[in-house]
Amino acid sequence: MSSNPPPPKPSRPNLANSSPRRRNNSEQALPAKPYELIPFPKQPPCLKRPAGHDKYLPDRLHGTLFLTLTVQTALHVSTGVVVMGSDIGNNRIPLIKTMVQNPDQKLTIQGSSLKGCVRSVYEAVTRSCICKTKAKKLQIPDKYSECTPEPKKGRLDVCPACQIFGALNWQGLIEFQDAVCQSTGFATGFMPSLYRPRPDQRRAYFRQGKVAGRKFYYHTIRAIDRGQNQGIPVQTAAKEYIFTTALHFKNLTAEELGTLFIVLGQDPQYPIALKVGGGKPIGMGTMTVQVTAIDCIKGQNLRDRYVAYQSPDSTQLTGDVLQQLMQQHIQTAHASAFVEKPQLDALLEVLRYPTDREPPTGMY
Amino acid sequence: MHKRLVNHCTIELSLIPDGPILIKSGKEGADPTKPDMEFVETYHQDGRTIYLPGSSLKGAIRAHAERIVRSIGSDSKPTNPNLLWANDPLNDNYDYLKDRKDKQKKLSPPEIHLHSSFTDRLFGNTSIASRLRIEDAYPTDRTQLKLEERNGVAIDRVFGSVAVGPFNYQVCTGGEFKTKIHLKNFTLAQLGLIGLVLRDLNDGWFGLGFTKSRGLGTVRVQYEQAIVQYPACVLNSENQISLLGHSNLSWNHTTLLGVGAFLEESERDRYGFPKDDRLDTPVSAEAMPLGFGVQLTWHGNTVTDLFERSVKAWKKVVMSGATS
Ligand SMILES: [Zn+2]
Repeated sequence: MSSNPPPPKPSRPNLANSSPRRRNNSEQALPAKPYELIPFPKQPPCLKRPAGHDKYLPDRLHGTLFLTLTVQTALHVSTGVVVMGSDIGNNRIPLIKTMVQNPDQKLTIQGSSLKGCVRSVYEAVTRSCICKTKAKKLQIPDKYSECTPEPKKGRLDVCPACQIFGALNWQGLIEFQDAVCQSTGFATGFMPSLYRPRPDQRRAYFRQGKVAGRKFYYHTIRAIDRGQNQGIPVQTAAKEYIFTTALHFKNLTAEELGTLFIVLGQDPQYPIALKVGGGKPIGMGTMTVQVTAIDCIKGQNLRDRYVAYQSPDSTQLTGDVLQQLMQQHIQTAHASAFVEKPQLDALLEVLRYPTDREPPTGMY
Repeated sequence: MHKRLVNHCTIELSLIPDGPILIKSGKEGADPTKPDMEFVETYHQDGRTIYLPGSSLKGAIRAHAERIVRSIGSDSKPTNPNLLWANDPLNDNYDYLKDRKDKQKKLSPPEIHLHSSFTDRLFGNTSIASRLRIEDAYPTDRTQLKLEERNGVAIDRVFGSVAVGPFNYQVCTGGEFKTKIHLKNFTLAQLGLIGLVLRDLNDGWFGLGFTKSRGLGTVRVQYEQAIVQYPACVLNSENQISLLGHSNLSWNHTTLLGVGAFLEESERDRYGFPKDDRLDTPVSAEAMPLGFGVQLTWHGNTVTDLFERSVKAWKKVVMSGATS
C-alpha cells in the first residue's frame, strides 16, 4: 500500500458558475467567437496538371527559403505524449504534455505542422479544394471536394494548393524541414480543456446546407495562460523564442512563390502572422515570419549549377536584394489574379499582426 | 568488354540525419502496438538495428541523377546517341534496344550500350548490368542513434478539429550510417554526376526514404575516403601506370582514368565511350596489395577534389550536347 496522497483530481468545471451567460439558451449570449469563416472564392477550384518532379524546368524556380519564426504568443505543438514532469526535469509538475525536442534538447516544430499551417492559408487565398474535413460530402460546395489524383490512370489535374503542397498519391513541390529553436530550454504553460466545435449549435458553419468557409482563429495580444477550466500543463515555447527552418522548393512559378511569400506575411499590404499548434482559441500559437535568405535558381543558373561542382557564384540572396525579389514575386502574384483578393482581404482581418484584440474571456 | 574490369571506384561515406528520416518497413499494421510506420530493421553484427537499405539509397540517387540529366539534357532519346539524355525506366518499353527489322532480336551488346540513356548506362536496365552498387548503410555506433515516434494530424479546414489522425511514425533524428558506393568500369563523367548527386543530397535538394514532403529524409554526407583502382595495371619502372600486356598504354602516375581510356579506339566508339577520358590529380598511384593493380586514394574531405575533377569530364559531355 502506498502512503502517497492521490494526485489532485481535477474537478469538472461547474458550467453554471464559471459561465453564467452560457446558460441562456440564445446564441446571442455566446461570447464572441475567436474565429472567422473565410468564404470560398466565387469560382470553383481551377485544376491543372502539376509540374512534377521528373526534372527542374528551365522557366520555373527552384531552391531553398531560410526562415526565422518568432513566437509572439505561447506556442505548443503537441507530440500527443503526456509524461511526468520529472521526466523533463520539472519535479513540481505531475503530468505535462510534451513538444518535440531535437537530439540537442531544443524545442522543435515538426515540418508537417508548419506545412499544414502554411498550406491552410494558401488554400484560402487561392482557388483550391477543401483538402481535409469531416464535413459530409453533401455539405461540400460544388466542385470543392478534395483532389484525388490518380497518376497511374493519367488523372493528374489538381487545385493550386495540391499542386505545390501535394495530394494523396502526389508529392508536392515544397518540403518543410523541422523548425528548431535557437536556444535550449522551454517554458511551461497551461492548456485548458477546449470544447469541441459544435457544428450543430454554431449554425454559422453552414449556409444553405453547405459549409460556409474555412475556419481561421484570430490573433490576440496574448494567450490566456491559465483558465478556470480543467486542463493540463504543456511544454511551450514562450514569447520571443526564435525558431529557424528551411523550406525546399522546385518547379514553382513566380505567382506560386509570390503567393507563398504573401502567406508567410512578407507583403507589407498584408501583414499577417502564422497560427501554429494547439490552443488557437485562447490566443496561443502566433508566430511571425522573417525570410532571412533565399537560394533560388532558374534558367542558365540551373545549367551552371549542374556543370560545376562548386556553385559558380553564390546564388544566395539576403538583405535588400532579397526584399526586392520577394516584392517582385508578390506583385506578380497579385497581378496574375492567382491570389483571390476578397479572401485575402478577409483573412487579413483575422490574421493581422500586431493586433489589439484581447483574448476571449469566460468560455472558449 | 564488360567481362574485363578496368577501373573501380569505392566511395566510403557516412550519412548523418539532418532532421528526421524514415525508411519505412513493408510490414506496417501487423502489430497494433507498434507505430503505424516503423523504420526498417535487420540483424547486423549480432544485434537488431535500424539501417538504410542499399536499394533505397540507390533508388533515391538514381532518381535524382535522372532529374539532373533531364533538366540539362533531354528527357527523350535524341537522334545522336552520344547526346546526353535520361529515360523514364518505369515507362520505357525499350523498343530502341531491339533490332529494327526483327523485334524479337536484341541489338549487340555495344549497340545496346550506345543506344541506352546516360542514366541507364550507369544504373542499368533490362539489358545492361548496373555499374553502381551501394551497400546497406549501418549505424557506426548503435548507441548514438536517436529514434523517436512522431504523431501526425491533419486539421479540419472547416471545424478546426482533427480531421485525420493521429497516426504515428517512427523516425531517426540522430546517429551516423556508414556505407560504400561501388562503381566499376565507369566513365569520369559518370563519376562526376554521382558527385553532383551527393552534393545535392548534402545540400538538402533531395531526401532519402519516406514522406519527404514532411521534410523527412534530409541528411548530411561525410566522406571517409575514395579509392580508384585499376586492377589490370601495374606501376612500371618509370613510375608510370601501364596496362598489363599493352606496352603502348601508359600514363603518368597521377592520372585518373575513365573506362574509355583503356579501350582501343574502335571498341571505344562502338560503345560510345568518350575519348581522352583522363584527368590529372594531386594523388599518386600506389601498387595494390599482392602486387597486381594500381590504386589512388583520396582521404577524408579531399574526396570532393575527386568529384571536382570528374565534374569537368561531366561538363564536357553536357557541353557537347549543347553545341550539336
Ligand atoms: Zn486540391
